[in-house]
Amino acid sequence: MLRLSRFLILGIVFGATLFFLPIAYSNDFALTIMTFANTFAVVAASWDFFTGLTGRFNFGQALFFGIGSYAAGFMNLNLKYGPLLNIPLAGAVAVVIGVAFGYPTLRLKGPYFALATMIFPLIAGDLTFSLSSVFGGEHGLYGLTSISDSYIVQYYGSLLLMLATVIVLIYLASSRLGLALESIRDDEKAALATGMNVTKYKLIAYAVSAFFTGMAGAYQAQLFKFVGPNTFSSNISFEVIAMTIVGGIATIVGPVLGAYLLVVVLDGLGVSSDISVLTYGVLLMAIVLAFPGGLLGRLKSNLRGMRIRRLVGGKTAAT
Amino acid sequence: MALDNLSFQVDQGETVGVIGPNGAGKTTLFDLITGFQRPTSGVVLLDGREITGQSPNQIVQKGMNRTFQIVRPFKDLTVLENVLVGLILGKGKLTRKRGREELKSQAMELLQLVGLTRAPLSLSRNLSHGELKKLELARALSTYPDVLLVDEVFSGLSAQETQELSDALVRVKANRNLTLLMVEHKVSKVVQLANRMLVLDHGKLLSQGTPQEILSDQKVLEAYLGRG
Repeated sequence: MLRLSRFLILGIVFGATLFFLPIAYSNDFALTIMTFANTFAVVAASWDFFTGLTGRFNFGQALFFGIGSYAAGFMNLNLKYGPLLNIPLAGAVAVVIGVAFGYPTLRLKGPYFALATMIFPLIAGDLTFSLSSVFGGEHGLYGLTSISDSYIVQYYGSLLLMLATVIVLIYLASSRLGLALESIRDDEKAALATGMNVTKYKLIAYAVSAFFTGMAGAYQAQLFKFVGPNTFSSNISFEVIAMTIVGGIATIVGPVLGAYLLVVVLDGLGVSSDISVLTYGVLLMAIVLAFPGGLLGRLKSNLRGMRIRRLVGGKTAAT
Repeated sequence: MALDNLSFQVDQGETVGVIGPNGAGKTTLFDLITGFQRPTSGVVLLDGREITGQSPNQIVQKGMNRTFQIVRPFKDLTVLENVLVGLILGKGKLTRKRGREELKSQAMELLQLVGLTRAPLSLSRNLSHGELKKLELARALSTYPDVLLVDEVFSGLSAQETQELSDALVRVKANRNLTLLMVEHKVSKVVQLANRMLVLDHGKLLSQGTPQEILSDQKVLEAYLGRG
């Protein structure tokens, strides 16, 4: 109980800092960095929801990000949809296309699934070149409507998206869906022997992960007023994995902290992209050695406690 | 071929023991019946309906479940959650939507039935081998099967743990009116618990009958027990 309170206090302090930051320190550069951090926090928490809870390693989270970005770009330019409609719709498009890619492979085990997910973003990235009349080839799509010209509005929009994502993901992870996913992670054969439809639950988790990541991609596209093939870059996939490992896998909240730490370290402190991989590597190794479960790894037990209370009530949880 | 030309029937309420030397095909038989492997030919019937080639979860939903030779707990989940998975998500026979209180009391009842006294919020990774065997039995029962297959449930247990689990099986069978099929190396336990025994050897059915008949069957003594 004491541990939960401590984390709750930390969460409130962290949330309040993020909320009041633009009021206390209205610096455009800082706000831009924090906006990136929020967007990446959405992607990392979504990655954690699928991979952290099911144990199936997705090395291609950029697939959903890129689909969301391009869907937003396409709809904004051709259908003149504004960001408010565009962002959730782009999330839905990421679900449909992402699941079409993912469904045939979700039955694959171990490294075969991981390898397949690595290839998907490469195929999707190539398609943007093959269909250059629609997706603009190497030039991408540009001239999108901006979310707002105000850095403060851009920041609060991303904060809202990040908070909504984290709340929904925690709600789902602490529900019977979370229980199903974690049992699949621990032993898929045993999960089958409880009578559950394992493929269905993995597919739901994959779709949820695609939806929020697609929205993050759309948000970034509207933010930059541009979308290019680099949205399918494997760098994005590896960065969100690093963020999650730093923050704590299967915690949902951990990746948010990881995103803030890594985005601020790399962008905020002006680390050159040439040495960014090295910086990631060193930081990752240091944190993994010092905190094997990630900085907020202990939150896993809080999530479990929350789920047990929701499923069977508080008295058992306190036994 | 792991199993060849094998045919047998188990009647409702029976306890049937399957014995045979290593490699006789006992676990393969369980995998074929419960859908974890597909037979190249032949049929599996449950209550007269064909279930051949159906997925394991579909077979569980039809009222048949199993335990595994090597225990497969959900190691990062608590004891309570291991049982809740089947109760909530299994859609096994008789499973329906239940309130928190009902779920909790059913989970506790299952743990009590198998004699697992460990705190329900202990992580299952911290349980002893004997406790894990009990937990796996409770999890299999959480889907309310009519037919339960237990695979080497006594393997690796001390004499006391073996006795506790044997008592638990007797309790479970009486409480649930189960049909029980057990693969077992400890022949003395099979003789004690089963009404009927099947003896497999090199994937074929060598003999079947009551424990007394099996123990005096010359073929079994020669091929399996190694004395004539």
